[in-house]
Amino acid sequence: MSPETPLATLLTSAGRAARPVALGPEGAVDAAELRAAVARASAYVQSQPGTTAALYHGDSYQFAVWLFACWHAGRVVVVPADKVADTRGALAADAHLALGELAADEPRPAPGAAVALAPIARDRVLLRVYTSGSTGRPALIDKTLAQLEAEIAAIDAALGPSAPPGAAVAGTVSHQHFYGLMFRVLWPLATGRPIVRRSVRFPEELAALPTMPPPVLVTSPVFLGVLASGGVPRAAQLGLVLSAGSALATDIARAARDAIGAPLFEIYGSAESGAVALRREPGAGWQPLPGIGIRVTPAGTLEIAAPQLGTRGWQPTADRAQVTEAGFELAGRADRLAKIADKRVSLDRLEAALEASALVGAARVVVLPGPHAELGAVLVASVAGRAALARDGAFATGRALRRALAGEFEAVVLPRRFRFVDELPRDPLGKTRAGELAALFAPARLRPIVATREAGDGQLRLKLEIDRSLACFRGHFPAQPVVPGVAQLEWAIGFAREAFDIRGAFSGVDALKFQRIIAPGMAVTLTLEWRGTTLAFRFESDTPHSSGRILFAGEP
Amino acid sequence: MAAMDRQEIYAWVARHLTEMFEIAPERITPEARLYQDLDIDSIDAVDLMVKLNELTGKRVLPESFKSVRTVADVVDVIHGLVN
Repeated sequence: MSPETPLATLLTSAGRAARPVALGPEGAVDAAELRAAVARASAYVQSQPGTTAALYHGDSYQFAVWLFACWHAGRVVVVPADKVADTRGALAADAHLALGELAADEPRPAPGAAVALAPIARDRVLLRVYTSGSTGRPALIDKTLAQLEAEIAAIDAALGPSAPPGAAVAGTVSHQHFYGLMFRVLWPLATGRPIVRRSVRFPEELAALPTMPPPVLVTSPVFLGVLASGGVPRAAQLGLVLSAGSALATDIARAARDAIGAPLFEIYGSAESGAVALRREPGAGWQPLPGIGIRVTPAGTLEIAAPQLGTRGWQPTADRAQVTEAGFELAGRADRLAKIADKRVSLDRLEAALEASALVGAARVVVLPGPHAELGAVLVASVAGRAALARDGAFATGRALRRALAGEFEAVVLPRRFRFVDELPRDPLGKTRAGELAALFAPARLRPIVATREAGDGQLRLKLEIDRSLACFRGHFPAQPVVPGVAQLEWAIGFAREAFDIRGAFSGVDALKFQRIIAPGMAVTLTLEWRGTTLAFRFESDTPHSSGRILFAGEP
Repeated sequence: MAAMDRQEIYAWVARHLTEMFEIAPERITPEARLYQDLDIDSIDAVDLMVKLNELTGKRVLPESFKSVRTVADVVDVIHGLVN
């Protein structure tokens, strides 16, 4: 890396002002415009209270503007992986300022207001990013500018020769993950490569990227799988392709490389460590980036030493590895050992054994929460597996797989429960999250939790908590969960039959009104009145949701 | 645990077979054979025994489970323990 491009002084030193820094359908943005935009945004950030800001933006350039604006204002930036309501709620406690698409109204700094930008402090934590949560809950990782600069230097020493100066950097992975943030935003900005503002979503969009010089594509095994099967549009020309997030299968790597016609490097690293090593093809050894030391402990886990870690000495990782002549090889994660009935079992080994079955296409094993730790297997059936499911059902197929594992593992550690899914729930980097897998085993409750209950003569009043795990939300509707009308009738009848002496069969509904939807997160009051042959019901919160009279046939 | 009649025990066993092993309720009958008809294997049988221990507060001896073939046999074992 050339010495004049560290992040701390990227916008304070007089660079070539007309150099393009970002490309998009809006046209190119040059370095002078970036500097001016950051100076205005930084004035806005400085006018706001607090020390921490949360930032989400779908546009990599706008994201960079707010990121540098906060850093120049001395604010810590928390980068959430998504902008869904839970994330906002969790962030609200921590961050004083919500920026980009997290803000209720995107702040528009006054055109005149700008501050002079001073170099950014290098040794304070200024970035907080989330781990992927592939083995547990996502955790926050702190980074100083010095760590980020050290990582950029290591990356550029390894990749710089393969990516021509001035090559645009596009990506299919979001900069809201650390991999995308480093490779799509920080490395290009620091090394004079323009960033392509919008994520590439479909292979066809590759044809629209600038080709002089051929661009870099920052992607993941998920998108490479699409390229491998569908091909790359003829007009597209790529100079270098980077993949990270999850392991790239050998056949996909080969097919993708043939389709791309450019070098394809896999990156090994994590939000905690940053980029550690790269390899040119599956099966080849991993080469540590320049300046990064690796060693394997007697217990077989990888340790790394690097300036980008921000600590001196060797840092443990959770990855098992072997040093080879060509670098090192990874052998699964050490923390994927579960303790079941006091026996240790490797989840990787169980998954590999399940995937060795002709019935299984892909397998993930998770520890299920509960009084006794037990394992659940989430499986994608192969063609043969689908035939077995149709013939024998899911339970018998799961038991057949368990018999097949019995020779290799002790009975007590074998998965207790099996779930067959059409595809594994994956994030955009191709990772599966333990929490999402475990959720597949959560029993779906048919009725909501009763928070309070008041019973009177022929009357019942229940306060119900409508939570997302209710069975009626499955498929109704994926993007907009709503309690279906039939579920409301069923709840009314179910609670009423328990409280009143209703013997007759359901025979119809009168005066049925659905006024407002009932959605997850609401608390509603259900009032039931039993009048001998009819049951009046009413769902309400601060507003009426639905009401009607349910009729029951008399005793036969 | 208070005395339970066979019908109550049967309902309890049927519910646990459904909850623990996700067996469709309509497949569970007193005559259904655990291994052949319900696909329960020896690991499931152990898990079921652990649950029985929790329910009855008494240790279900593995020997008493050896002769168990059908859902009705399970009901008999529990009935013998709690009454």
